Amino acid sequence: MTTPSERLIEVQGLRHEIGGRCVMDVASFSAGRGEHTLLIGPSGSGKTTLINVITGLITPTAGEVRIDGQSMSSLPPAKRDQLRRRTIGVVFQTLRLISALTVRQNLSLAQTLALGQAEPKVIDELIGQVGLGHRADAMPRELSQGEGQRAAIARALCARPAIVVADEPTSALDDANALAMADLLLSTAEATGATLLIATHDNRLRDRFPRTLALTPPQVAA
Amino acid sequence: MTLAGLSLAYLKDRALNTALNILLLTLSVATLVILVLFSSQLSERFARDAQGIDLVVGAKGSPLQLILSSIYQVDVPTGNIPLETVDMLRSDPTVAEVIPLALGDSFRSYRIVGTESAYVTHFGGEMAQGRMFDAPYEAVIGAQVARGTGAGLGQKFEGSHGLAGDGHAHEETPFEVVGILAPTGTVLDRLIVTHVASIWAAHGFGTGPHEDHEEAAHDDHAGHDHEQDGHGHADEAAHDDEPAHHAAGAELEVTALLVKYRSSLAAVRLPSFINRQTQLQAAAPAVEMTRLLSLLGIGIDAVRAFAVLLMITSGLSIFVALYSALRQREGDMAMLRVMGARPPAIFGHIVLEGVLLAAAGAILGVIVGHGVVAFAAATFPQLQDMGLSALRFEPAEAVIVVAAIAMGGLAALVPALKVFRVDIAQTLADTR
Repeated sequence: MTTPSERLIEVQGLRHEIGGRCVMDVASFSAGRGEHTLLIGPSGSGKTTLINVITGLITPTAGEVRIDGQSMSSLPPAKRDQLRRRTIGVVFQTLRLISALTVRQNLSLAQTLALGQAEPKVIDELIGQVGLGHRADAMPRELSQGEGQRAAIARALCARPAIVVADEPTSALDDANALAMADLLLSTAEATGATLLIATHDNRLRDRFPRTLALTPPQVAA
Repeated sequence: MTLAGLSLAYLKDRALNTALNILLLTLSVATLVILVLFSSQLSERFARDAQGIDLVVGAKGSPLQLILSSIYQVDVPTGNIPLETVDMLRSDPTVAEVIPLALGDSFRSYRIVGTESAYVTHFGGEMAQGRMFDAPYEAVIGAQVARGTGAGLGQKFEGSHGLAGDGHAHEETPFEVVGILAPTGTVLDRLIVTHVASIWAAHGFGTGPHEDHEEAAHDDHAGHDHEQDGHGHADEAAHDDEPAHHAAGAELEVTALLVKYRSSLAAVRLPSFINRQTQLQAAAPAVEMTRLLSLLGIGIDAVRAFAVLLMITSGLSIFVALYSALRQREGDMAMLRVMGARPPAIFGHIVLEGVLLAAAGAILGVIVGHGVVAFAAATFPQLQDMGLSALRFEPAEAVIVVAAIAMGGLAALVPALKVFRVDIAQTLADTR
């Protein structure tokens, strides 16, 4: 059982509606420091919405998200951006590497935005850790899907965030790559002590995670 | 890697588009810079050459032609006027100075001006070598003439009829270089200056070199010398290239007189008085040059308008390029926001992209503009004669550069403002 001070992510009575239709409904959820959680559910269960609310990209219709004790939805936009910048690293299914920058430059930019300056040594270590040492100066368009995934993970971790969230990071991958990707996320998060939260509908990952939170599509009123 | 570095990376990533936008802006800035250099140096040169000359008196014809031929030495003279006009004007109490000019001959396209030493003094001419002429057939050459011909002190040369340097030579009457002038930055630099009596003698109204040395040395007022000697000075106004020449038996003549007023009263009275004389016309350099510059101005304005249009086009091109690039990069913008970049920072990064494009175009435009002027000055001797220099920078160029950069920033403004309206979650969902 985690104590309140150890709870890095706390979700209470969270509900989000779009055009009067409920797209996410989560009664409560918390994740402690260094804890790895799999958010699993079918399409439409609100996984991506929950990730967006946790990262402060959208404000929920009801309920509260606290990140490291701070209420995300009550923070002004600038503070919310600051909290996300310093605390959360995000990995998307579509990678979202900046197309005009090399792998190393992508990490460098992320680190500069989060920490105010780049730490080349940390970047190189991280790139080596995800097995991209030989591709550090490659442009995103020159990377394979698997290399791109690893670059995106490295970027999410390069500012040593307390929380790493990943939205459907394995949905486009075959079994071997999906499991390798999950293992990479787990090992790198383990190495940095980050809290890991993966939202997926990929049942192949269930066995890899000690903790799973199942989401179901919100009930539509008759 | 900073957001400024990201701006550069995006420009580099679409190199062809970036190069075309820079090229377009370079062309417009270069055109404007060339115009600025030409018009400012031309006006300045015109003003410098005409400084201290209130009126030019010459034969009837185009007043602008009279000014161009007498002050700037770039057109053929309108004809000749009687030598007694010099006395008439010198006796006028409202006139401070009268400098006679006898034109019509040249050496290797450098014009030979028969005049008095006051002409050299008027333009601030100082001897770099040798001395001032004090006898017929002695000549003092301008700095540019010395450079162009390689002539030194004691060098003898034969003047030829006409101003293009291709007329028949006065073989029997060679000039001798007795002085070389230091550069003045005026028309004097490209002239061969000699005593007015030299021109008369070269055309048969003196008996040869040094014969009337004494007279010329004792009195700089050529008219008196030659009238007393009975030398004739032909009027060949019809033969425009040789107006100082004269038919046998005619009175001595000069081509034009440069007049400086003693009092402002002269400006009111003298031009109209002279213009009433049947053979004479008076032209004010200030009036004629204003007229010329306004005529040139129409052409300059047209080219300037074209260049400004080109600059606006390049601004629109930058706008279109950034607008379409940012549509493709909406996902990147959203990701920057996810990574914690604040909207004002992303806005600044996009504006910087436009500014960098414009700054590159503006700086290249200035370099190309000066390069074209340097090439033109090296290729066309007339431009060099005008004193056109590519090494001079005009304050207006800074205005052009700032305007171009501001335009680049402005063109980026509309696309950049979109960053404040972006819905990150929606964009991430839409641009998977």
